[in-house]
Amino acid sequence: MRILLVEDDALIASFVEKGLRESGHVVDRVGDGVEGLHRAQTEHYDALVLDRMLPGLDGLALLRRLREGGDATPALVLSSLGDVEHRVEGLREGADDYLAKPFSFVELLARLEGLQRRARPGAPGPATVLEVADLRMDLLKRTVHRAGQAVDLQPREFRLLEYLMRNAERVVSRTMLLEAVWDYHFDPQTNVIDVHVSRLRQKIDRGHAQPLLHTVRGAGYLLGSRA
Amino acid sequence: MIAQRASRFLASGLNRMVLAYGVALLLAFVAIGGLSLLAYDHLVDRDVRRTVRAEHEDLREIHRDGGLAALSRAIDARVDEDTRREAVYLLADARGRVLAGHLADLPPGATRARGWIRFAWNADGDEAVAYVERLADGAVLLTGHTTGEQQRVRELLLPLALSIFLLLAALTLLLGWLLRRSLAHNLQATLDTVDRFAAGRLDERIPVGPGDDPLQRLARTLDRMLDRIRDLVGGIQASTDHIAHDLRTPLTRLKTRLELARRRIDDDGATAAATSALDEAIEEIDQSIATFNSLLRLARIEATDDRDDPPVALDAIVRDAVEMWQPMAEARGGSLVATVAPARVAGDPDLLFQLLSNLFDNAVKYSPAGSAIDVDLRSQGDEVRLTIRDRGPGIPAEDRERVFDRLVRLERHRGSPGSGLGLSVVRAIAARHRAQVRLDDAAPGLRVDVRFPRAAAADPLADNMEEG
Repeated sequence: MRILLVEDDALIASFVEKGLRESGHVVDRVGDGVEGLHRAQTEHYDALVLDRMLPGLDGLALLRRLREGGDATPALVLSSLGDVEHRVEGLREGADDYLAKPFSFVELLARLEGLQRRARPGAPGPATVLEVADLRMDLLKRTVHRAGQAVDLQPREFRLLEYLMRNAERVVSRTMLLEAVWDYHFDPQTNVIDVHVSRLRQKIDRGHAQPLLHTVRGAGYLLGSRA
Repeated sequence: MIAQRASRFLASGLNRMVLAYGVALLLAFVAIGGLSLLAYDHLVDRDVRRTVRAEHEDLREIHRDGGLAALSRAIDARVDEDTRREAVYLLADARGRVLAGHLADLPPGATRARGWIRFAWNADGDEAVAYVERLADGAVLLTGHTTGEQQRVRELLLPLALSIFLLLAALTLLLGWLLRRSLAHNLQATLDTVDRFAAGRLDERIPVGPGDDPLQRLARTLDRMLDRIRDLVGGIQASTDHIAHDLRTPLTRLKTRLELARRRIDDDGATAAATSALDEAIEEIDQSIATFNSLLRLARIEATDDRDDPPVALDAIVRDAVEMWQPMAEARGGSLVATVAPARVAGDPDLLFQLLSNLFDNAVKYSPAGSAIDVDLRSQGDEVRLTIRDRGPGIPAEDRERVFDRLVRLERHRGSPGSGLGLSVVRAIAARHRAQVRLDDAAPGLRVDVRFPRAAAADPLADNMEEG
């Protein structure tokens, strides 16, 4: 996808740019808000990555101007101000997602891909069955089978697995899981998510030669058949 | 019961003041009344004695001029004239035989040569004051006056004084009550405002009237103080935002550099030692960032107000939190045992979940392996009470206040993970919800009590549906 990156911190910008290129995306990078707005208005992008505090025009003001002009390009706002109220403010101004600095690149990538999927028109309606390798989830009957064997899951485990399956083969961060599976925005401080994931892993991977639920060091989790 | 109520009544300085004022007023009344009565008695007595002496001299002259027979006649005449029956006369001869007058016999003490005597006059309790003298021929002359009139006046005055006393007492009580009410009314507005301010509504001010009495001066002074606090809090908020930006940006860059290095190592192939060193460095930085974020969050919680908080079902939040922490407890062989009754509080669900999460985190961390943690939520009267009890080592009494301070960690827990901000955040969230946190010894273990003011159910039907 074609991404516009508006970030004034050269080190972070080059790090993100390099990472996105390596992941097969096309990146345009600018360092101030006015230039960013001009680019976003005159060219077509699949996604925008905006820093909140920018010289010239701040990220949220840029986004507001863009949205007022009817531009609906998915936008992810980066900010050092990571608190709930800033996040809420950002989402209200038209951001599709909000990521607090410092972030890890994999999380940024995962969120961008998530945005892309949500924004893509003509995507098939909500699936009733999700499949990853020999793992199969029926959303109507609320059942899960691994290699034909029923797996008994608690409601929360079901939601956790559903989210992981919808994002199969992609890294999902702990924060993303928290936001998607639990209805509270809070800071768990400890590895409480890890315990839930390892329980789920016990239920779906135990007794099977190929593990599906992987831990990605320093980033989060990945559900998929990759080794 | 009465003693209890009395001591509660006296515990209020205002009540004591009003009571002392009333007692002083009544004492003054009693003193003035008593003194007036004494002075009246004294004056009347002096008057009576003067009249009696004049009368006596008169009679003595008659005796000197006309002898015993003339005196006897004069006395008889005066007894007849005395229609008000106030005068007392008696004449007895040397042998004590009564010759004329009111009395059938000589009263006790009447035998002395001359002087004043006082004796009982009639069955009504009236007394008589009289001057007696043994005349030259041995006869005894007694001239006196009854105190009946004085007695009547006293009988009239005493009930009157008592009624005035009671009326005054009633008036004092009424005035005291009115004073209390008006003071309480004037102070209530101030108290309410300061309460709301303390709960975070930094724009609340005490209404100030035009006068210059101490109450208005207090209101003006308090308002100035509230202005100052608001300015300080505003300053802290602004500087926290700047710290957030100025410090987290370099941290982000540092983390970015480390991640870049980590990726380069992956590409080039490197020793396991180098890789794990970098991973550890990244983890360290994440830990610092987490502590830093917690501090910022804490500052934000303390600075926000609760103006718009709607009632939420705390029982549902507690159940969610228990569900989240249960696997954590089970991983250590223990469990959370929850007893949750429906309870509503005005609050922010995310913050309440954070509070529970921090308390459960502590309980799980410090519980011995395989032990249960009791969680209890109930509504009691006007409050909602959350109790969490573990079987861990507890917190020594002298440290129970200190553990709420920022970054304080007890010596024996230094080695375990955590930022030392968990309980500070708990306290800040509790304060934001006007709740109180208490730590107690559960022997063994720690008991944490959080008491929230209970929120009225907005719609009883909705409540029932939730329970159903």
